[in-house]
Amino acid sequence: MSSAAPAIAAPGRALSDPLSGWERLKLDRMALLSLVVLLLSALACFLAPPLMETARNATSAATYSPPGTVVTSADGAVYQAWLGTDASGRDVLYRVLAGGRVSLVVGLCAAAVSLFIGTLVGMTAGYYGGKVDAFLMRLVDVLYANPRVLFVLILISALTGPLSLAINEAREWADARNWMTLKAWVDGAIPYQRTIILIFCLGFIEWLTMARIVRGQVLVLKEQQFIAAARVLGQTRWKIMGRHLLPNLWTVILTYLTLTVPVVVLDESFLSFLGLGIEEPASSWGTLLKEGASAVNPLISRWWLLVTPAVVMGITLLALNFLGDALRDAFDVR
Amino acid sequence: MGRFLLTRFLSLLAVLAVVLTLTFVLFRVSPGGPFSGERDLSAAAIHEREVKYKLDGPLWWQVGRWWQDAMQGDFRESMKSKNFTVTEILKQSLPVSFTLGGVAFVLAASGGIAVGAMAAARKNGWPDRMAMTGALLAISLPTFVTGPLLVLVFALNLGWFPVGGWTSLKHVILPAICLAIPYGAYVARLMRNSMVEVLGADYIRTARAKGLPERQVIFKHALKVAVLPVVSYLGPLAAGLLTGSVVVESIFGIPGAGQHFVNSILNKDGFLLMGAVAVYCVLLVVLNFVVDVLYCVLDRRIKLYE
Repeated sequence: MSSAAPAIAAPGRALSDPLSGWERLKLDRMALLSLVVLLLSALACFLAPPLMETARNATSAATYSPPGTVVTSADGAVYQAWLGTDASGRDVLYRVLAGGRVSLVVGLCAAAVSLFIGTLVGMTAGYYGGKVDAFLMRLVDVLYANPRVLFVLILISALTGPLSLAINEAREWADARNWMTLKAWVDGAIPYQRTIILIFCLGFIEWLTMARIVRGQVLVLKEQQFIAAARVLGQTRWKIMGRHLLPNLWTVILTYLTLTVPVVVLDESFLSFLGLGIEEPASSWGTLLKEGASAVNPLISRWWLLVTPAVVMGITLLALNFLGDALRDAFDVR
Repeated sequence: MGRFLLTRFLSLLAVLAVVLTLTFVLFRVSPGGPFSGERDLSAAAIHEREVKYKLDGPLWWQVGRWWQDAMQGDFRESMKSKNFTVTEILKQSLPVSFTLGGVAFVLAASGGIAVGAMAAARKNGWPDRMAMTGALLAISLPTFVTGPLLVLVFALNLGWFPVGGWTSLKHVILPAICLAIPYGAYVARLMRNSMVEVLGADYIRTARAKGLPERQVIFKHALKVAVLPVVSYLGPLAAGLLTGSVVVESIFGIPGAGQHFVNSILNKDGFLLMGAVAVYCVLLVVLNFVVDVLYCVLDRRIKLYE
């Protein structure tokens, strides 16, 4: 935003030298604040639940108790529920933080999957050009015209069966060869089937914007002299793409990674609302919001069930969006 | 201009054809077909049903016959709601969605443009910061959070609007606002960025130098040009809003068409799915075309392909 004040004075640089992207970012106070908020939120989600009493995640008789109630769980442990309890008497704060871990992991991994596909498609289309470009971009157009809900639902229903089948096969295969490590590893993956499916399905529908942006950047980059030089030196297309184009694309990739994570987290919450997201007893922000939304009714409104996850998720996604916008401004990505 | 619009229209028709065919193919090849689930049927029984629903034979033949029927306006019978044709189901629910979506569209477009223009006029001032933070927050929260929160405040605490249902004009307002919020926020961000760019242009400096009042500079000179990126977003916006939203419909208990998108997939009701997707795509194609025409009318500088 305030690129006018070059506060960073370094030896050997003139005041009139343009600032680099990072220097512009460092001057953006909102971006730094967002980064701090984001780190705090991520730290809380990943570190706090293991440090809290395990009783917080156990059911208790104190269902729907308002914030601040002292709760005795089923196995006799006593704790104070600062943000109230849910329908099964579990601590809302604990579940929101633990749910945040799931939401953030799904968001980050699915965004990474979408970036991988998007970058690959965008780079191929931009660098090869011609018919390849035309075909890939028409594909993107067609996928844009499809309602996204439809695609992700079809993908989820298509992948659920084959994945559990594959896991069973892998178990039997490992069992027959007495490979206990592999078997234990596969067994460990069983409760995370839904998460794995969500990561791939959401990653698979969110790559379209990325592909268009990367293609646009590659079209600009490939006209520059260092690419021509690499070509003259006889490097292969894939090597040029990997060694010369990719390093110049990474600010674009970082920016869109930051902007894709909130989109994916929202998608996941939408799927949870439809009952297709993360399944009980695990929680995500989506499942908690769904519970909270159904707890608002004309008779008794248990507002804390909705407001707590909404505030935590709202602040985190807001920070991500702010940071993404700031990155886009700083690195001048369109 | 005529030639540009013609090629544009033809390419949009091609997209429509590809999307519908692709949806049909996805529906047919995805595991767990429409006839599995009830009971374990024998191969003969499955074949009998496939013949009944014209889903036998090779895939291209099935797609071809669906297109043949669709061209004659027959979207076939719903595979799960027996005795209802897809046309009947959509005829009941689409007017509801069109009303709700239409109101939401007007709210999102006008509100977004007004807020965006205002924010840009006070660039980096506190109204700008507040409006843009609000807009960012609005796109960071899902509709099923804003919906219940609106209900909590305006229906339960203040009692201004009914909680849900679809019987009077009053029932439209709250769900329409809920539906409009994220889209309006997106429009506001688009409008603000475009307006900031336009306000930095030379002709605006000229207008100010002439001594025109700021109000006239913004409304008469800047707005007309700055609104163009928003106009190109209005096509997909309207298509998305008019076909309904399953979330808003289920929160406010509205019998709209959005639910059919989701339920037809979950119930493996392929023909209803095809009908719903056809409506969405036709709307998208028609509205995008309208936007192209509007663009040519609004911005005389654009002489596309000539």
